[in-house]
Amino acid sequence: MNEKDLVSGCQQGDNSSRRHLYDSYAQHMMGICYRYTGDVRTSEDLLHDGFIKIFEAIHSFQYRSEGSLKAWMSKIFTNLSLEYLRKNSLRDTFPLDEYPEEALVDTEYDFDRVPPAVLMQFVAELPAGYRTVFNLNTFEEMSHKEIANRLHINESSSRSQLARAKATLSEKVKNYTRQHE
Amino acid sequence: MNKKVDDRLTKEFRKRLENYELPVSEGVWEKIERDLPPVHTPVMRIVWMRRISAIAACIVLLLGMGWYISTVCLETSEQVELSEQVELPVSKIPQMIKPTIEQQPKLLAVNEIKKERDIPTTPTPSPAEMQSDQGDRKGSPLPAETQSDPPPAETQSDQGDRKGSPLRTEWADDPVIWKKSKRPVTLALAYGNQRTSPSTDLEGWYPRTFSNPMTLLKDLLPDNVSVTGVHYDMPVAVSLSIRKQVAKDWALESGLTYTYLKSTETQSFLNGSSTSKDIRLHYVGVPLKLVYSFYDNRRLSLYASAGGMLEKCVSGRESVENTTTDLSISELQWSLSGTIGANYNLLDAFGLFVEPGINYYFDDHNTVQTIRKDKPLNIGVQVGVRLTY
Repeated sequence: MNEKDLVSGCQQGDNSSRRHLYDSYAQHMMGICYRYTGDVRTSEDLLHDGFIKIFEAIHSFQYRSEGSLKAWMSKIFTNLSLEYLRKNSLRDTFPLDEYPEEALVDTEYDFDRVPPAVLMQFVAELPAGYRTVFNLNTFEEMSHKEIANRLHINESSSRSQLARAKATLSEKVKNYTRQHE
Repeated sequence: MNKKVDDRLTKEFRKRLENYELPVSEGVWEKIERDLPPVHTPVMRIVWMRRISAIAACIVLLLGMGWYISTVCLETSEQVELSEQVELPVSKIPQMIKPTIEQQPKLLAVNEIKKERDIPTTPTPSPAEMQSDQGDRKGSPLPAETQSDPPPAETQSDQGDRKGSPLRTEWADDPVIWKKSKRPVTLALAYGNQRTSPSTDLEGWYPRTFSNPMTLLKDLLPDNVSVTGVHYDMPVAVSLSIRKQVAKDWALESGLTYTYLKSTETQSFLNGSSTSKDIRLHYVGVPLKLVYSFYDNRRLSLYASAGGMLEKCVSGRESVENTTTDLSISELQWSLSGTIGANYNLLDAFGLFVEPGINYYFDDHNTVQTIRKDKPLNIGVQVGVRLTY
């Protein structure tokens, strides 16, 4: 069943289409939620709320091309995750102290030796502020201005959070490769 | 250098984690499925079309009802208003008729006609005398006569009975004169509320009282001739009903209905005086309806119903000039009705509904004049709350 048929079935309220949609995208959406929240249980709660929201709103979704459904769903889960972070752990995670916006990051190591699950774990272990800005910049490809507007912070704060996130991740990857030589 | 290195880290993470998938626990889908809104069938579009059609039908019916009500009210008001504008040269009216007026306190035109029939004939050709000439009507029950004689037929028979009467002949032969008249009184009398039932409307009874008003005015009518207008207040009904589903999409509905009817009859005499009478009637009825539900979801349900109702007048009063007398109506009132309705549930067990519909009231053969006799076919709307158990 392609995306178009899946959308059509869900719009008509067909339960098997709903289940098919869930089976097709749940793990990917779970990955997004975990990447933002860093917590499996919270991610599953968001997964539940997100799919309820999707099934309620799918009548307003207009299919354009293959991939548009996945992109639409990813946006919904990203927004849900950001909303959760805003209400919970993100409030006090942006320190006022400045940090070098362009930190020196040592990347003289082989990324291929680090499994994706480990990379994901490194991201999840980041402080909420670092993790959020890193996600928005790396995966949503948002500029610091856009991040600042989205999170209601200063651009400089966004830059310093990102620099700290990358420095931390670089250090973790370097240690991992060193330990697994 | 830093920028380049920094880009590498970003790209590597993006490449490896952009489509990263994480296993999900088994119970998540079951929880989602349990909390999902009700599953709709593939025929939802058809249902939506039905819903839209039903809403459109409701709107059309409500608009039609509004037009009907406003038109009827306007016409009734105009009758009363114009009847009060009658101005005649009272001084020229033969004095010999005046005592008769004082002996006729009744207000209804039909009652006055009956009394006039009992007045001994005088050499002067008066409407009372003309009424007494209607030999074939003497002794017949007055309300039945009133309702069984529509104006055109009566005019025809009057022509036969009263060939010697120039007034009647002129009226019957040249009705165009009536329509062309510029006098307010003639306009008022021609504007009868006869869209539904002409039984007691001005045009319905007026020719029985006298023939051609134009001629009568010219020939100086006696002042016991009057113009009667009837104004009906909008009936008010309160009902308590219970509905029981008997099959899929079908239900029976019954209960108790209280209805209040009020009418005001204003009689204006040609000498300028007028009197009025209020009639207040209270009915209690038991309806029985068959209800078909053609759309039903958690919030909105649309349905149509048809059935009948049996009503009994439990109290009736007639007020004339600060004098109130009880009216006794023992006859039962039967009626048929058809409605369409929409119910919107604000809560699971509590909803608001609106039911526009059409009712037909059968003649209860009672002498008391009501809007149901005058307009047996009515359009009405009910709004209310509904509790569901």
